[in-house]
Amino acid sequence: MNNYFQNEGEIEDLFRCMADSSPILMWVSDNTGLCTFFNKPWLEFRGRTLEQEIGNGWFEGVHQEDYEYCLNTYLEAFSEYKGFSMEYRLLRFDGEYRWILDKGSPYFSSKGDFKGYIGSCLDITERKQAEQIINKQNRRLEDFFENAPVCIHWLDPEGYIIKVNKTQCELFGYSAEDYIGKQMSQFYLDQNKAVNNLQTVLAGGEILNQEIQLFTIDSSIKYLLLSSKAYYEDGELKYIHNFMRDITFRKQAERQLLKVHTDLEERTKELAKVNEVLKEEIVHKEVLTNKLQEETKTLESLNNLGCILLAELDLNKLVQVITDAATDLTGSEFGAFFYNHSVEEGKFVTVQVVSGKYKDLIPEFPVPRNGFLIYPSQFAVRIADIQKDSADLKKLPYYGILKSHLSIRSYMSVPVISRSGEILGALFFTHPKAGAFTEREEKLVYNLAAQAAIAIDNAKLFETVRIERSKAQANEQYYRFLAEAIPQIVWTAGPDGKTDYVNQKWVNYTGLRLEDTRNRDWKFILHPDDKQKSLERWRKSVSQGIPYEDEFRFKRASDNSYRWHLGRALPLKDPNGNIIKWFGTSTDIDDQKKAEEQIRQSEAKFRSLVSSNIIGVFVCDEEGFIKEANEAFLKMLNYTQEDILYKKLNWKDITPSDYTELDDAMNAVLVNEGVLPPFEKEYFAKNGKRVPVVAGATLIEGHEKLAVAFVLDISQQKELEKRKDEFISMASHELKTPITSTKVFIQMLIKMLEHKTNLDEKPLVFLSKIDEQIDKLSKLIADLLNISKIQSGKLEFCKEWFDLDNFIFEVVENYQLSSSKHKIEIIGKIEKQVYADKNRLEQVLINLLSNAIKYSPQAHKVIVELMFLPESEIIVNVRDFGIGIDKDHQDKIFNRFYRVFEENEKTFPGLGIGLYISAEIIKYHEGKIWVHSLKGQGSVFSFSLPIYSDIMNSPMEEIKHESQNFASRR
Amino acid sequence: MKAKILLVEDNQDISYALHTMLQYSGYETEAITDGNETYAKVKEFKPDLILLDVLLSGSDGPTIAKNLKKEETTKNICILMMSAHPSGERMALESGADYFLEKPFDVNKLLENIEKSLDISSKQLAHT
Repeated sequence: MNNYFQNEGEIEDLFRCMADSSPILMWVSDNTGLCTFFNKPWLEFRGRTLEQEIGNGWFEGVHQEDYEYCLNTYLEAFSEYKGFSMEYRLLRFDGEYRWILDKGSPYFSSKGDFKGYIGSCLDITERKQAEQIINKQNRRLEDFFENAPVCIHWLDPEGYIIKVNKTQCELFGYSAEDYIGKQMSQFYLDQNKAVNNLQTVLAGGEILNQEIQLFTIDSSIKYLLLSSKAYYEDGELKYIHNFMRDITFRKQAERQLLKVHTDLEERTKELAKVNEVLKEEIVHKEVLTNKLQEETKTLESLNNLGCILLAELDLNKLVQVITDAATDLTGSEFGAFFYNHSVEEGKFVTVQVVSGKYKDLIPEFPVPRNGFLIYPSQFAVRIADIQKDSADLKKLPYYGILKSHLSIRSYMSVPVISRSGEILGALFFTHPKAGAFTEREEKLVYNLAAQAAIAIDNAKLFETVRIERSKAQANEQYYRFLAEAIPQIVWTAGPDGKTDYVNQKWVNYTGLRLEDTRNRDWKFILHPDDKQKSLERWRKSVSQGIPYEDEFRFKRASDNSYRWHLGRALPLKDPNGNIIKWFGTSTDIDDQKKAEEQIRQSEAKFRSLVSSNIIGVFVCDEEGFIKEANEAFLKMLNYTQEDILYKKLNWKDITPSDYTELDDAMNAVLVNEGVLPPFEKEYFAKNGKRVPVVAGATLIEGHEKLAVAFVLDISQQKELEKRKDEFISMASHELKTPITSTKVFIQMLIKMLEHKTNLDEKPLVFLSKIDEQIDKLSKLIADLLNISKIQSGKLEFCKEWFDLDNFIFEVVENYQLSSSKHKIEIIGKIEKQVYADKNRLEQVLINLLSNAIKYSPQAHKVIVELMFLPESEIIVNVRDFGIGIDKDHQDKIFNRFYRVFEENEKTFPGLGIGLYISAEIIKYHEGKIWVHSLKGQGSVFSFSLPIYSDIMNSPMEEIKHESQNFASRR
Repeated sequence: MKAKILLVEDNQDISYALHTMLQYSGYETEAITDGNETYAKVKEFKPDLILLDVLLSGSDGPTIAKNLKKEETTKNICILMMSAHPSGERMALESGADYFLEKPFDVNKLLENIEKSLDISSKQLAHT
């Protein structure tokens, strides 16, 4: 770089010009923290004069809420002279507060003194607003995505899962991480189907309500209805949106097990994560320690280097050489050179350079305070014996030499005089012998002194030049520092438009050095689409001398991405109007541009979800008026867009009144939580028909008064459920009817035969066997019916108060009649009334008793233990001494259709539903059921019931029937 | 005097079996299969107890029970309902029946229930 900047005044002008040309607001503060300069954009932004702004004047414009934050940030940075960055609201000339990103860098004088801060500010209001909108949009999209009452996942065109919602994760037990990056087909039971579906959608097709079967995390199968649709962005297929509706009836028991599993997995993952973080922490610390050590080493070597440089000052070296040479030449025992070293204008320091035999001792001698020793005369002085020459011993130089000095007899002093006649200093020589210096020596030294004077003159001149040069360099550095302190790209160019300076930010950003830039390589990092337009504008500015401003894309070297920039350049002109220099800046405005683009895309994504019309969506205000609805919603209820536009449709008006209470409760959830998880309700269609739906909603961020609701038509499912229930009811009814008559006939026969005398016993035995088989058959039918009811959540319970001890005694006594081989013992007493469904509890007890007997073919005893734990619960144990259950199976035997199969073991008949039903019944009673078992030693099945605390207060009702819907308790 | 039982059951087999069994057990029993005939039969036969199926052709069990319990002259007749339908018990008890028995049932249990309810209703009658 050429030496453009020789004095600071010029630099300030240049800086001001650069600052004013920048699109950003700039300020400079002094070392007391007060602002001394604001650039033109700043003053224009504020609509105030420099006089109003300087000092602390600008602070009046800071928004009151940001006042403290700003002050603290600034003071904290100021205390350590550190750089800072802060965002605050600043009052614009039009009275509007704008968000400002303010970055301050400290700057220092060439001597390293803190001079103040240089700051630059960007108006980021648009970006902030854009960010807020994006956040809002994304929240909306995310809420919609996560809380929609259907499973949603997105696939990339290769079929890999890139996004999956909470509903799907919860349904299948997988975490989002489990899904993401995997092929969706691997979760299919029929993988070909997955491949075919993908191909259909990729070919531009669509899949609507196709039944598929997917694996859950525990390898069980769920049945779902799949709808699949591609999402295009700028004509390019971006994602495939898959929506799935669970049509498997929820399996409460299995799901709870699954949840425990997932929880455990999550906790393990969390632990693993913590572990990772700890590891990183340790690595990070090591890196820091190493860095610190390196830093220290560098400092040490710098210090050494500084010392060496200081010792190698040319003039000093020269003076020493002269002194040494002269001492040697004169054969003196001691030689010295006192010379005046100019430090600053008009100030001198007298430096003493010594040489000779006692060179090393000299510094320890006191320096003579007075006398011509250090104020050399214009002429040489030579004394053969100073002790004789000054007999009274009060004459100089003897008088000036202190007693503690070397003993001196011979003395000689020769001045060193510059060409301009200035006495630069003097050379002194002494010798302990008298008459050591003759005229010859005097002449020699005279000659030497003349030469020395020239050399010193030259050296001094050289030094002056050097100092001047370093001053100029410091100025240049100062300017560069200013340029580097600006958080944007800065460059300068000659009048011809050729770049002659770029700051480090440019180099870092573009990867181009000044040389590359000068070679016009920078054209190649311009986006091809912007190149021509941008270069033309620049050429036009250069040729006409008018300011340049343009938006274009630059390639960023770090990631080879094109980013939007706002480029500006101002010409600096001399008093004659000729351009001396161009000052240019370039600001990365890509984030802002991208934010705008993101808003557009995010909106498009949301629209695509809404317009996919797989689920109904509507937006309503807090009164419930529907502002906007998609086709799916309107079709579901037979309404039209015209109804929305002109009829002021309110969702409250189309909800049957029996849902008012539920809706109010749900509304409260929505208002409090911002999100309403899906729940079942009904709407009136336009024709008055009730439509059962699953509905969920979320508040629109930033618009507390608007909510977006998702509605899924479940009438088909409800209809199917209803028909299934009816079918099962009728089927069991039909099955039981012939059994009923058969049983009556058989029992009649038994009664009749019992009254006959002389009867062959066999027919009676046979009939009893048939009767038993009929009982088993009817129990089986009842169990299957129960299963179906538990699944659909419709198991009915009739609770009543009864004495548990009596009840158990009766059940056991009855059961004992049918099992002669095992003796059933009852141990303990509970002495409590319970409020429960007697028939269902009997079912549980008989189930446990029959299992105990069935699985202990070699044993003869079953024990029923009754326990009462005060203030907590009632426990009933059924203990057998049979084959026991392996640990692996213990937690699974309460699952539906779970059967234990062991090799080398007798197989026991059964469907594997008894314990499942028992568990469901106990759960309904808010109790627990569990097993303790040792293989080969037997099992203890236990269930607990809570203590009904209101028993003392409530009147005993002989029979209190309570018909409850099982589902309503879940 | 033998207690009188009216059996209302539309399934011929069950009706036949129960009819025989009740007679065998010493009750004066009449059986009808059409629910609509119940009211006429009650007036004519004046039963102490009605064994009533829930699901009937013609008028169904719960409707019959409700009507009989509303009527002054018939409200004291003990009604024992039975059904193989899963919701039978709820329907029966909601309609005002005195007892319910799930099909298939043990004959002895049926007889026990009949005795018990006759006992209660005769005591009630004695009071009135």
